[in-house]
Amino acid sequence: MDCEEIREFLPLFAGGELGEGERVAVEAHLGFCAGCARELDRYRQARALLADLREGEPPPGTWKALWRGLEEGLSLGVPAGLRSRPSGAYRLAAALLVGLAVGLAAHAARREAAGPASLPAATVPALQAAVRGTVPTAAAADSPAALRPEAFTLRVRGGAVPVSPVPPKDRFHLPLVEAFPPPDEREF
Amino acid sequence: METAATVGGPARMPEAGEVELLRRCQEGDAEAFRDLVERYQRRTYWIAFHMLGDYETAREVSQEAFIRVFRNVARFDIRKNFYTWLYQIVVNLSIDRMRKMSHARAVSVEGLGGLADPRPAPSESGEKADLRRRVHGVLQRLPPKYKAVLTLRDIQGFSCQEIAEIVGCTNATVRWRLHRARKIFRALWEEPRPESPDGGGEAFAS
Repeated sequence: MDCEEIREFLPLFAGGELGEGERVAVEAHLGFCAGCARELDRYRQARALLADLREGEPPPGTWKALWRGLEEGLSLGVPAGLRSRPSGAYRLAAALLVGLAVGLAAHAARREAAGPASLPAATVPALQAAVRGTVPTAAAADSPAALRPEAFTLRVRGGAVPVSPVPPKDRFHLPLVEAFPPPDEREF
Repeated sequence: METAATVGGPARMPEAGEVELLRRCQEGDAEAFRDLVERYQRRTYWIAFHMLGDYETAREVSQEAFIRVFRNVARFDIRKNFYTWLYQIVVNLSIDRMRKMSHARAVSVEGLGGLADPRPAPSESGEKADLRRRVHGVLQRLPPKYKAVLTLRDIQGFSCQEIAEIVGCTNATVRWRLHRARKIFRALWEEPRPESPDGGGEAFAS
């Protein structure tokens, strides 16, 4: 093989990813070609620069913020009534939904006064139910308690735990893991 | 005989302790989940950081990855490697985040996106920190699929087989991407810098 062909192997040779046959051929060439040996050094130094990035220190407070985020993120997955205290983000979302519901109700009232109603009658109860964390069905209107999820016990061995899991029976209704790509190549 | 398919070693098998930890997580044991997060939070965070180039976004993506793990761990096959599943989620979330960020940022020459602000950590200073910042800045200019393999192989030290599992492609594709990624990285590193006094690129010792 000439230098041009050998140099195509150098990026992988530098990382030790070549098969034995290719590796032996490159090594034999490097034994007498100073130009290709210099090329190899540059790839090796580039790898060393990248390897040096591995260790570092994140800004202060990173881990604390991560755990706080986990607590808030996971508590959103727990049905209303099982949460000890809604998070700030949840309270804000609930307030926005209530505001939206009130606005839609006022809009519906105006449209009804002006002509045929265009807003479904169920919209406001549905939004209010969403704020309460229940499913708006006829049964819910009659008996909200009937739709409350079954109580479950979280087994915790000691210490404060910053998470509140989804009840086991609800796990099977969660969407599939979006992060799993198909076995063939995923093109980014 | 070592072949290209096995170069870098196979993916490691799950340890007995980790299998037990995952089993407890699947039973809803929140303390086990906390242990799992503590075990993996650093590497998860640094993979996200090297993919995204931003501390805060890396923290958000790490958090999101653990939340997805928690919500789906009941369906995870504990005979498989947990870390390849976790890092797969991290890499995919990072790529999704990069796509969103790229809509708002300019794309540089030859379609290589400059997406990140490679700020040093506050604790870092001096010449070494400056070098790391520049290396990180060049890494951020690579397209996502090349950045992913360089992060996982050259920074984190995973084998090609592990990377194939994490990225969801074949071992041969990983090697091809590594080949391209190293050539692009080297070309960008040696590119002339505007702020360089002589207008030259980064020089490797020869």
